[in-house]
Amino acid sequence: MLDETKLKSVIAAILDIDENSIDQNTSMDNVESWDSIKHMDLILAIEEEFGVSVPDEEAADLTSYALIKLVVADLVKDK
Amino acid sequence: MFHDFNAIQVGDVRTLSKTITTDDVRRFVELTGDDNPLHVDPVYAETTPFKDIVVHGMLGASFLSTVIGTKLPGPGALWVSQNMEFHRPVRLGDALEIGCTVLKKHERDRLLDLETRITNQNGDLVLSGRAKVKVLITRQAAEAAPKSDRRRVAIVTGGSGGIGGAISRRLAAEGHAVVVHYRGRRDRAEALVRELSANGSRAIAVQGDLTVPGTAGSIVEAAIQAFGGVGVLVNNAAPAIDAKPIQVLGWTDMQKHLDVQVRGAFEMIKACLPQMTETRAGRIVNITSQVVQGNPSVSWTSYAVGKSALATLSRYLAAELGPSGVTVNCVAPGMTETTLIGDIPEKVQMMVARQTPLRRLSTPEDVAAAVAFLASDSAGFVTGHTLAVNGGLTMS
Repeated sequence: MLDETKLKSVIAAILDIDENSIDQNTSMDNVESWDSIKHMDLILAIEEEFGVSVPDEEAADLTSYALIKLVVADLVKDK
Repeated sequence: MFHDFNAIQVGDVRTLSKTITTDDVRRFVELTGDDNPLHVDPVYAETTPFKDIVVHGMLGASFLSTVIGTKLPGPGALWVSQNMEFHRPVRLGDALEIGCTVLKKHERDRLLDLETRITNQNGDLVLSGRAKVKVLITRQAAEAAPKSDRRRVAIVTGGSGGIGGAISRRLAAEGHAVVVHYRGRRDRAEALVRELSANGSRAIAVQGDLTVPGTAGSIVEAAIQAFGGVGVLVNNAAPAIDAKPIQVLGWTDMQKHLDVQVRGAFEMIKACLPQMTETRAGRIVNITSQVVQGNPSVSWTSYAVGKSALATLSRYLAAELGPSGVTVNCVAPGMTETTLIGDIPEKVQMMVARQTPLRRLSTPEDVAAAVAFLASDSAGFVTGHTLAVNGGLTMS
């Protein structure tokens, strides 16, 4: 079971945004600080926090909160 | 004067009378620089076998241009070629009759074969020859041309499914009577026809397995019986994608896609052509896929080969049928929100949406809107084109 609060907290910390502002529509398109460098930091932080490994071929595509949530939930479930 | 190529008939004749004067010869010399003494010096001319001035042959012949440019066919004429033979000299004071007669019409090229002849006041033949004249289409004429009498009847194969249903609804909303073809889902097709009829549109559902010879003919016949003809054909039917790696992919899998997507479309087009060429107006829209031009979706081989063959069929027929007034185009959707993608994991669907510049998947209505455009009068000069409906995921 994915701890969504923890996920939002990680994202908020890396992107330096209010975690209450994160919802299904949050993405690289509407968060100014979410650039390609921060994106690498974000994936690394998520992997560390949840103890999972995001496949290389998917890492670059996880550019929205909804997609991150879906993928991380699967990874956590499979642990 | 003929403004309309269609109004010109074989056997039509137009003539012009012209008496040649000294002043005409003087102006011809000024214009051309041809001051050959045979044409201008009576003393010199007397020393020749002609004994008197001979008018420039091309002076008389130039009035053929007057007939062609002002009478037959008149404004918009382009004189493409001329051969001629001079039979008798033209003398000063001769009253010439310059005439053109239509020998043959070449409809496709808007070209006329003309007999050209000039006689003098004695009825003697001075010049004879043949001309080819093209009748140009001017912008004004094109704008004034009546809209085609293209029949507003559309056949949509696989017309009750996700994309097919949206296309049927959209074309019906645009004023077409719609033949909703289906293979197995009679309930869905009939429900769609009831829906369209309730909205004031004319529609029928027609069953047919496109892999069975003769099916296309019976679908078109049903359209003719119900609505009087066919103006638009949308080849949308396709088997499910059925992804398989090459190790387990059999030729029967390939054949299934070729039979429905390619042969089905081929037979439907052939069955519709007499209707479309008769009115010199027809619209064929083939639903292909982003898989043709985009990166390969691994294991979608049979589906992609079928779509690619359909795309090639479209381009070749666009070139062949253009002169008959029939356009052939493709609409190539990206991943579209239908049951066809039900087996694709949500994660992959979301990733595709994220990779798409417009940040979502296609909807059946997006595809239907593109089809409606290609079937409309607005797309009358669009053929051989593939309209990608994929939010910019692939760009060529």
